[in-house]
Amino acid sequence: MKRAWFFVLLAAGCGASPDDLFVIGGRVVSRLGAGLDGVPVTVTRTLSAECGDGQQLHQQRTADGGLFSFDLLRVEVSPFYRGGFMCTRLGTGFEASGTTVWSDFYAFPNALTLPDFNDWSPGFSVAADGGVQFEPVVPEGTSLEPCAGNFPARETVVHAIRARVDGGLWWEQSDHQSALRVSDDGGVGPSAVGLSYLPVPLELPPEVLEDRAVELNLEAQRLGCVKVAGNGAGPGLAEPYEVVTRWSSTEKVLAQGHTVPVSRGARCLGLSFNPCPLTDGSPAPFELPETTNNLRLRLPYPAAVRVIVLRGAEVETGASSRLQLTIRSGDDTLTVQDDTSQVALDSIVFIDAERALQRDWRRIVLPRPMQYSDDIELELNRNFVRLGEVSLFE
Amino acid sequence: MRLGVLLVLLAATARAQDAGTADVAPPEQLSALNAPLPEGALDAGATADVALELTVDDTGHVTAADAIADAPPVLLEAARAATLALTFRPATLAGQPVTVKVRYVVHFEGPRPLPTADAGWAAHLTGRVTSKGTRDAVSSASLFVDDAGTPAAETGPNGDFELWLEPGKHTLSVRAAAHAPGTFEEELKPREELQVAYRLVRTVLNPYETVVRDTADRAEQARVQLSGPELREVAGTQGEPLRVIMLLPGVTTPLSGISYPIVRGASPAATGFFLDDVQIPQLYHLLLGPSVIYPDFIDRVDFYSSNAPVRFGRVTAGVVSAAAAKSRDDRVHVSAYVDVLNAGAFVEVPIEKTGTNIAVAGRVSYTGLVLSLVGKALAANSTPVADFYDYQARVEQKVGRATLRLLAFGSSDLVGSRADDPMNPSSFVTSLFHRADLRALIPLGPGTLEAGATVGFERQGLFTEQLGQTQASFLMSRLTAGGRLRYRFEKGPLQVKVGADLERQQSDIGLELRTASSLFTVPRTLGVFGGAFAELAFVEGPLTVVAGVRGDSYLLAPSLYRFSVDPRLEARYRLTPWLMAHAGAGLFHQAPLLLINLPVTDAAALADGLHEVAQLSAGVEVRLPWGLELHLDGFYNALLAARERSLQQFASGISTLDDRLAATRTGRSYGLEVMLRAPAKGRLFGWLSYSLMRSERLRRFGVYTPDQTLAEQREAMLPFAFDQTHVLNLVAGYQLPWGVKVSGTFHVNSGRPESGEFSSRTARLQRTDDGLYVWQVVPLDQVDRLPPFWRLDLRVSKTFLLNEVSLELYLDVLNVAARQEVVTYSYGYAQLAGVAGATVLPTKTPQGIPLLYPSLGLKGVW
Repeated sequence: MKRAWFFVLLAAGCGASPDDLFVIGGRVVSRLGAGLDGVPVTVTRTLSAECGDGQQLHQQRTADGGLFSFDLLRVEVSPFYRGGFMCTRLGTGFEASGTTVWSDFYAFPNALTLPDFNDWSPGFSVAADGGVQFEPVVPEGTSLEPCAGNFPARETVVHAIRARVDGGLWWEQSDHQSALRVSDDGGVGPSAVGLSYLPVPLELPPEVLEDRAVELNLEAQRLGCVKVAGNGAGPGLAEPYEVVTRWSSTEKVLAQGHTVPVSRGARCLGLSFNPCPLTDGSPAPFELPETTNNLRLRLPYPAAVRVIVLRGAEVETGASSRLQLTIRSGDDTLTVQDDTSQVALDSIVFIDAERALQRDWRRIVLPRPMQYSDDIELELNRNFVRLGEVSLFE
Repeated sequence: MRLGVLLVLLAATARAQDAGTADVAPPEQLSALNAPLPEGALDAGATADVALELTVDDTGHVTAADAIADAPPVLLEAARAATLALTFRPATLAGQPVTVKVRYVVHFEGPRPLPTADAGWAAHLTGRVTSKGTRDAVSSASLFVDDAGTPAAETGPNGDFELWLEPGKHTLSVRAAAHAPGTFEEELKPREELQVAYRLVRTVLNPYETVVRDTADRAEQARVQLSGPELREVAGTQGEPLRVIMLLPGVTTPLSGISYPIVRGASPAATGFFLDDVQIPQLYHLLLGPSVIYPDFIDRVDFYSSNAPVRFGRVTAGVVSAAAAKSRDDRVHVSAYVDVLNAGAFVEVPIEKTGTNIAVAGRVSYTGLVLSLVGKALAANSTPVADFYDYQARVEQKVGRATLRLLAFGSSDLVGSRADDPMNPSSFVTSLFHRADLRALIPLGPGTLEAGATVGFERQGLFTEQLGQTQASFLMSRLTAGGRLRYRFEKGPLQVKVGADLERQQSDIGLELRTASSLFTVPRTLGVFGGAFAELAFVEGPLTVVAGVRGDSYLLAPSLYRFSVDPRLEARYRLTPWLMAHAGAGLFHQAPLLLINLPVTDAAALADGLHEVAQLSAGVEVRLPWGLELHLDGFYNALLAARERSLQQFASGISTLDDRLAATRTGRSYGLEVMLRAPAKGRLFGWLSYSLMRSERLRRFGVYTPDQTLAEQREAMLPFAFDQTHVLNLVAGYQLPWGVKVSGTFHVNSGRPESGEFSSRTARLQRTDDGLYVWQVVPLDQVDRLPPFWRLDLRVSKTFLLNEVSLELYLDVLNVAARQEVVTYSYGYAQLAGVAGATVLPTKTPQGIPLLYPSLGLKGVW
């Protein structure tokens, strides 16, 4: 409201100054919540939409119980007349566990206290049946402070297992759990003061590994609502602000898949590539020459398709999470809908300065096998820009 | 006087050679004889003839007039003087002009005796002489009956006259100063009683004469005082006296045409606005529109660009002090106007029986109708809204020797956009205030005591509506209550003023969302401000010295106190009748400032300390020939403690590197002002004002590398966000015949810094490693200036004088050339069409606001 009034009053084009200050601070703590002093916290910046380890701007070591605070100038963290994107990352690493934790920003509020950067050793393991065991990144019972007044305290914590083949991301699956607010009696609502994680079992179906030797590791993401501090100049209006914190554990598990898709080596009709990059067993994203919602495959041999796996399917942002798939196999046609709400950790992918895509990983089990055929057509309710791999299984 | 004309031509005596049978044509009189009868030369009813011989040369001029008969010397001299001024068509001989002598007799008649009241047969003529188009009496007007040489009567103070005349037809001529003579024909019967009303047309239409009713304050300090057409007829001001301030030296504005004065480089909130010493939060509707006080309610506007009198406290830059019009007890006064966007009226009623005077005024806009047509024309899905109203009321009551006055006034503005579909939100900005002031003026001892009490309310903010209900609002409001005491007396060359004032301010901020209860509340802010002053003036001959001191206290409840002491000294000395010098110095304090005065901001920010300015000024006033005045002034203002908060910081919560310096910031402003003025006497008025000035603040800023990292921090004294080095105004107005007046205003200003505070931030092209050119923002000490700007305002009006009403039809256009002032630049990149590859071209596009304000209206005064 104040911002709107500000722009109404000063509609002559005044506004952002390169010297604007953003005061960003936080705390580095152990797994048990104790402040850790002497830990280096780094601010890095990339001159693109892709966040990552870029140019280092500032570094300081935590003190006074694990605290850190940076004064960032707008000119350092905003393109400011240059156009394009600029991503700023604040992060640190824990020597003992090897876990790194960071938060990425494309824009900053005036003053912000980040959620704690806490250490995390998940003790991650994968059972033979695909079940994944780990400790959650946010300890059970963590206190939750509401953002401001009646503004709901919202927390979403996602753990994702990531499978890599030849360094490329082959599969990502998360426990897509949210709404972690609980009250003393276990209910949820504005009065919630404790944070309890209600995990959904994470299992790796056999198809997702295919027959590849896969390196698995665990990452976590927390979407938290924090309070932007008033600066004391005006009335001190405090506003809620959402911050995403990411953890990447260095614990790794090697796994060997044994399932071969019937679509391996299939020809992609309509694409003049041989072998087809969508069925070659490589995770590299392939940019479709023209965005399309229709894929036609000529299998090496006829098969009755029952399971479909889409890897790294990237569409323009804003697509509905409900996927509708029509599969035609010979004379057989079946339409299914998949409501699986996958929360991909890097769900927004920038392919150029202006185009952002959302990336999806889907395993769709059909209610019945399709007709035996080698000619398979997939029609979806969205246009794909890029796709890693399409795998069909019997 | 009676003019007697009798021409007798006896013979033409030709000096030419005898031409035998050549034709001789006598001279022909071309000009009328004007031979006034010398006073007392003849008794009533007497006559006399003066015979002269005139020599008329071959050009028709009279070169000699010689008496050819005896005549009283005084009549002879009058006749000679009159005939020497005659012109003739020269006499001709055979077609050629020749010199001739002719005989000429001038006949004089003494004044016709008028009957007296005792003459039972005489007609009684009574009447009143007034200025046409008004009800103003014309006193000391002379009435001449039937071209008599001496006036038969003279009007009294109320314009009344009385005459006894012979029955029959008479011609009455009425002559008065500053009026065109009037001639009236009357036919009277024996013993007839006839009452008439004669109306004379003013030679210079000036319905706004300033009438001085009080003894001028001899200790008035150096200031510019405007009156008459200088307040009402300046082009581009819509007849608003308070807008004329913007055209005086030392005054600039954030955007040309907007009436938000920046005086000598100070923040706009550092200038105080007062109506009869009651401070008001804003002067104009919507910053661009009419003033919040009806023009007829203002008798005088005093503008102090610096060193304002000590009675004005807690203000550190200029003071605009409007004096409410004094009550007039002669009759009812009414004026009203209507123009394209708003209408207003003023009514003043004296009640003689009770010694009461009541005046009310107000105006209201009907912009909705016009703007809805604009919205439809633009095919927009919303309608712009710009509604306002204001009101003033004054009741003055004599109580014995004292006078009680109640003054109430207020204003409301509503700006925004109303969605045509009620399902869509509509957004508005609102600003309103109300004031009520009760004042008593009591003669006490050798002087006058003034006691006053004021209450006020103001609110500013914004809100959104949907389906007729408020969805969200952010409003700041303030309730004020205060009192003041002042005593003034004079003894010989000394004039003493003492006084005190106290004001309590209670401010609230509220943010409400319809979908949730208020998520934001700020404890009510309570501020108490008090002050006391003493001023001693010494006025003796050419020297005037005024020394004053003021103390103020500031309290932010419960326990934050600030105190200040403001000494001031002003001296004026008239070196010669045409040259006066003046100088002044003073210390001024004020609560911390935002760009504009907002409720709560000043009291709430007291923790920052007080804004402190030391002012020095000196100048001369020179009276030039032709009634011109030249004012030269120099000033230096040292901001010892610049407590000017960033509006961005207040509104968005984002602070800057520079804000870290706020607690120790200083600044300065200095300059030279010139004003050449032709005061409003007669048909012409105008002035030329020029300011050369600089306003600076100590700033902390970053210096960046080409890849936008911070290289270092610097501090330097840099131009203020509103600094404009050159400002020139040329104002001129002239009254043409037939009641037509024209005026024009030409304004030029140099640009302010493109520092990013109220504009874009200067960027320059930088070549990157991969050969591209990108915009690179520059540090604060390297910014450019926005381009200079000029505009032309024009006003034309035609006055129609009816019997007791004058109507003025006017057209006043601000920025008649519709020029756009560049207020910011847009830096970006454009794809180069038709070129292979991703080629982008850096672009720098000026963006301006075409502020054009035409005002077409009709005003009537009765």
